[in-house]
Amino acid sequence: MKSPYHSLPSYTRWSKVVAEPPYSHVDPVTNFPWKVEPEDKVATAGSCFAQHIARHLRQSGFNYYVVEDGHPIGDEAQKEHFNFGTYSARYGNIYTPRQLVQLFERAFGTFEPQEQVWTDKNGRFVDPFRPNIEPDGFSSEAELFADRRQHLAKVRHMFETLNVFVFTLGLTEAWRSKADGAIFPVCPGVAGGTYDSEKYEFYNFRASEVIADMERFLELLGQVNPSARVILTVSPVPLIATAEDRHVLVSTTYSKSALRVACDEIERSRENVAYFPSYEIITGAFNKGRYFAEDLRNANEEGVSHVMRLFLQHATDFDPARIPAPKAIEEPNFIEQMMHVVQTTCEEELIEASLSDR
Amino acid sequence: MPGKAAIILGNSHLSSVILHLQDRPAEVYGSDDSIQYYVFDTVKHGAGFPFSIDSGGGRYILNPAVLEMIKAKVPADREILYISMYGGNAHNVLTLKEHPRPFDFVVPWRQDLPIDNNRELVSFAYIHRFLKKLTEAYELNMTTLQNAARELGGHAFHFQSPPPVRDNAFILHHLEDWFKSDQPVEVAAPLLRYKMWLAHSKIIADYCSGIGMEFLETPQSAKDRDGYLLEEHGRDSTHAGPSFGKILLNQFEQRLGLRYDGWAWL
Repeated sequence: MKSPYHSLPSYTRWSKVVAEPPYSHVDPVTNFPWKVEPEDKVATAGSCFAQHIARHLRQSGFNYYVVEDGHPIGDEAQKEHFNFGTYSARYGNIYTPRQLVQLFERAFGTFEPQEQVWTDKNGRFVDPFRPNIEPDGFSSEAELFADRRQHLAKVRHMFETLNVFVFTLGLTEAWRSKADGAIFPVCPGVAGGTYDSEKYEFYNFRASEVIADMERFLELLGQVNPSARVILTVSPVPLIATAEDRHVLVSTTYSKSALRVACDEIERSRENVAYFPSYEIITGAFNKGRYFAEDLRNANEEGVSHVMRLFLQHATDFDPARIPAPKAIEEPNFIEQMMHVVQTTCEEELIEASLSDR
Repeated sequence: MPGKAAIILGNSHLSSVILHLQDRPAEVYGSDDSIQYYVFDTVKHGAGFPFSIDSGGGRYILNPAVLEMIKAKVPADREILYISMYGGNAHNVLTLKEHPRPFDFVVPWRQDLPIDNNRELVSFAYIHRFLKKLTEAYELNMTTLQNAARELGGHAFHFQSPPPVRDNAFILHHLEDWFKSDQPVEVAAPLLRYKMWLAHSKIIADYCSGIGMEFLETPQSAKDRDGYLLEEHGRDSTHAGPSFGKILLNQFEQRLGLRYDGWAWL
């Protein structure tokens, strides 16, 4: 009598689909439940690995949804410098599901952290929940508060109107306020603020808490955007440091495992959630570490390309021929026009004045 | 010692000084406390005259032609001062006309100036970075002038460009043809224009401080209580007129204890 294994597809056999194929041919994506359409507004958030997804979506002609794109006073380089467009809104890295839940709650006014502002070593003002978002810090508290108010309104709009939300889970380790549990993306004192053990504590989320937080976020998202679909990935980037008193490799394995378990639990219970195996593609033994840079932490471009190739193949009906042509600029660039006019009028003014005495 | 000679180099804001000097009679002649002005002649030398040139290896210097002009025109026994009126209109690129995507920003040292919460908030650093790109061209000229002054044992000053006139109707009425288009022109709100001028002035003042050039602010008598240029001193939408030039030079002369002894083109 044959065992049940005999009737399973070949992708269930390690030797056939992991050990034998050339590393670039390994494809762990099976049965992706739905497709991202070119017109879908795709928003991204998460840890640093999520930036790669954002970049590739944009380059591949998809409707990478950006609600905070930076004022056109700045050119593309300036916008990038000020972290516009890195993610769909200017929230910076979001490492844990708890942080994601709190972002949602802050955007919809149901959670206001007690900690409102930090200062950095230069006396500039830093948003505790986006400490690196303004490259040199905000110039005043008023500016920080106005920017944050504007930002959260944009985040609210993003959640309400997106079609697909791609979230990359990065960490289980976090630093939080003892007063109200507000999660900070970096330890206070690292990028602004001052570490105070009376006010802050380290916390390493349990797998069950990660699941609960993701469930909470999906409930909240469903309330404001019932048709939203979510793609979860786990960042393959190891912890740069652990705050647990143990080897960082051990901590990394715990974190990634907990996050991966949470994704599996969530995906099994919700039809609008799909898991995409970026983690497996980058870290799988089949590539023998090829997809990590020299630091053995950051994914290199070859690895990211493998991830995105499979993403486009399985999660979309991507057809390179359908990449939309760039929209024609409908209005002349205001800044360029004004620069030309100001320069011209300045020259004419001076010449006119200089001629008046001759 | 027969007085001083001030060499005035610059761009369009020279016009206020030129228009003032045209009809100004000398107050003294050749006394120790006299000052003569030698103003860069844009008609003769061209609006594109390079005030700074690369002497090799990317080291920029004041165009030697300027020193030749000075040598040819200025009496050798006068102590020479240098006045920069370079640039000064970069802020108008952003806020003379209302931007199609309305914005506002906080001026860090003027927290009393409100922001409009109905507009897109742009950080001051974002504004600063853009303005700085525009000011770099004339900052170079300020540097080469300062370096030349230092080498020659002279003192260099920079005159702050005039603040904007408050009234949008004045701006519209005096709008140069180049700014006009088929669509009605919407002038940016006075406060936004003023804030942008503040931001620009700070960049230039800080730059002057960095290179050791003395920054001379617009005299208070030329401004209203909130710092806008009094309308009577406006010439067009972006420049001041001869009465402003008069106030500038009077302040300069009073500061140095000097009396006016005539002017010439450089």
